[in-house]
Amino acid sequence: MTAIVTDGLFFRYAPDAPWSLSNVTLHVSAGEIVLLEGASGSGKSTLLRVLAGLAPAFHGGQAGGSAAVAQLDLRTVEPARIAQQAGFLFQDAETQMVMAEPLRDVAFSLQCHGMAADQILPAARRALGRVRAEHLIGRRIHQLSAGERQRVALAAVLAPEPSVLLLDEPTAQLDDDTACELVGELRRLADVGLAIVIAEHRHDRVGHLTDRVVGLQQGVLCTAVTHPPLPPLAACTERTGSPLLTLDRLAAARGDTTIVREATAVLGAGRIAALLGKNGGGKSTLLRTLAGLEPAAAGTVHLHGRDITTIPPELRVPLVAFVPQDPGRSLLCETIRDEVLLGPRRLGRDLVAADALLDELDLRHLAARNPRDCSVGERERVAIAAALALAPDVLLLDEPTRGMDLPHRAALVKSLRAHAARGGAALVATHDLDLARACAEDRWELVDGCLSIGVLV
Amino acid sequence: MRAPLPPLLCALALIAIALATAQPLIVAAALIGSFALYGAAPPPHRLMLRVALVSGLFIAILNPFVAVEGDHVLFAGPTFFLIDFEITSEEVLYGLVAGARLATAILATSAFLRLADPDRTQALASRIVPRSALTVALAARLAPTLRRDAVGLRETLQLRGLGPANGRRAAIRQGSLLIEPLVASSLERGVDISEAMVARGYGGTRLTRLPETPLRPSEQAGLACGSLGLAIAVALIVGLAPFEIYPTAGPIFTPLAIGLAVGTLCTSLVAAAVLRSSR
Repeated sequence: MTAIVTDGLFFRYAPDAPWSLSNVTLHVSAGEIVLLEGASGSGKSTLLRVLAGLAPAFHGGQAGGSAAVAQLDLRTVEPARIAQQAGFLFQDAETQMVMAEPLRDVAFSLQCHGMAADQILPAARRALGRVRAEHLIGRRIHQLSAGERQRVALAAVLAPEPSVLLLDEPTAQLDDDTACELVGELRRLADVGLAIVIAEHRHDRVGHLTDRVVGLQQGVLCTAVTHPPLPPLAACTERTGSPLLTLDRLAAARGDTTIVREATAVLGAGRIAALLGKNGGGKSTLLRTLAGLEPAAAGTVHLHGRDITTIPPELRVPLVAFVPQDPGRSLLCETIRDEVLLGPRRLGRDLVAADALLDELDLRHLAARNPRDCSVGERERVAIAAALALAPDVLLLDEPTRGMDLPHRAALVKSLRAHAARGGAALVATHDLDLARACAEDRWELVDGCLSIGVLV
Repeated sequence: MRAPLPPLLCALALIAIALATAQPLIVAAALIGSFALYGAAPPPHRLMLRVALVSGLFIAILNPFVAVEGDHVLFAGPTFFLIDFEITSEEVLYGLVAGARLATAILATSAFLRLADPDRTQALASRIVPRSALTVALAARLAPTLRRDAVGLRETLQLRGLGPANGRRAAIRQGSLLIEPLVASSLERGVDISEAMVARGYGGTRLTRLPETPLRPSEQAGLACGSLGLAIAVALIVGLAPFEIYPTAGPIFTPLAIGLAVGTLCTSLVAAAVLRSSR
């Protein structure tokens, strides 16, 4: 049985805007998993929004052609009714949560669908159990890790038992183990008859369990382009430059809880280290401590041999630059060019070199656009360009590839290697092992709050 | 999953008692009770404790200099503009009572907000005003997210090399840099969550109301304490133990006032103990 049918589907957000989707004809059967691939801004999220009934009903815009989900004609049926058949998991799981506690939040989906009151809580518990998230009941949503939030969001989508599942980058914030579990769960759901469409840049994570891969290029369906994986760093050199950043028995804490204990490591000039570890393992906390955003609970941090442990973050700039997780929410300026040039202007740095980063990270064509009108991956690149524009000695990146397609990840690797070649150093917290292997020589791994140092194999 | 009704009644009772009388003993008992109730709530405690103490002390100190009442002059001084340096014992006493009332209200409200489960509070409120309750629930859900966004924006400023500004003009200029992204970020969050609600089926059929979870014994005890506290407040409102501060303060240590103060104190201490155990 065909669960999703689109015939010659067109869509654009404004009458004078270019078509975001153009002549899209797609059929997805029940029990099938379709992987939607394409560059950032190619229209993947838009297609999912159209299939969920959100565009144009919620976002406005113009649509043409026909589309149906579970035999519901998207041109005539209201979104709330489509939602009963099509569950939509957003890119940022946190944005789709309405209540403050997981069980209540999952129950909200069922309340919206008019389920009998006495059946709601047992059904919500079952849905949480299905994604192995029952143990999260009673906790606060804002205190959950990204992986835990993703599970709760998935439970909320699954609870009303939809026949179609639409997932926008479901593994972007997950570590490998959690992503693997999630993808396995999706396969099981498909095997019992759900039609699933996944928009995802990480082919390596979901590709092996999908039935079909469909490409999307500037809003037009095409054969998926198979990009070669990021090539691993040619030779893993043992050479270490002069020490730039030295951690001596450093303890990093989140609130009153010490997350990283007695971390001792040296990051040399010209070296890049990948900071690995599970979700909630302390990677972000360690990076924030190194950037000066969190006070060190114990131990010291030296930069160029100078103790910077108690120096505030603004005084560590431009020696240290930090791009936090999900930086797209914290961009300050009205255009991408201003955002990238903000730091160099303030510090009296070379604006030409900073401006060249727009080309290096493929942002030139977006330079005059407001960052909030860009996709997650594009915003991520803006934040990285803004950090690189400071020409820092040490660059700290927290999950920099969220929403980023393979060509742009390759561009990021190139920029990082150029930074290292100029004598800089970088510490990159990531779940993306391909990226780690492609750009880093050193492996810093956090396991149970302890930092171990090794060479990336 | 804490029921909202017991802490709501306890907080309301303490605020009502503090506002229903100016009897210093009873107001002091309500203040101590609100401290206990706030202590029973989950941490962190420091911020609101500081807000309550500073606000209360500010009112207590300010009142003798702005009020011009009372018969017993402690210090006779001139009047400059609106500031009166003639201090009477009644002005001091009224200032202390008013400060204690404000601190009680702040601590009791904060205790309720921390002790009650926000989702169950929303469910309770939705029986009366469904849409407004959902709006408030969303605001409560989004508050930590928006705060995090605001902190993220401030941190971005620091990470671009812009530290705390020196001087008022520089601070205003720096602050103005954050206004646009702050507004844009909150609007973006608002649009995101509205979209998510539509995607989850909100607005299609009538929202089913969840059955209320039965109260646990400790919560029932908290409810009883709250009701007792409200009974004391009603007794004070109808005129039991009347007390006037101006022009001359009445006797403070009367048997009735002592009895009501002890009652208030015991009720609130027991309420704090049972609500702490039901956390």
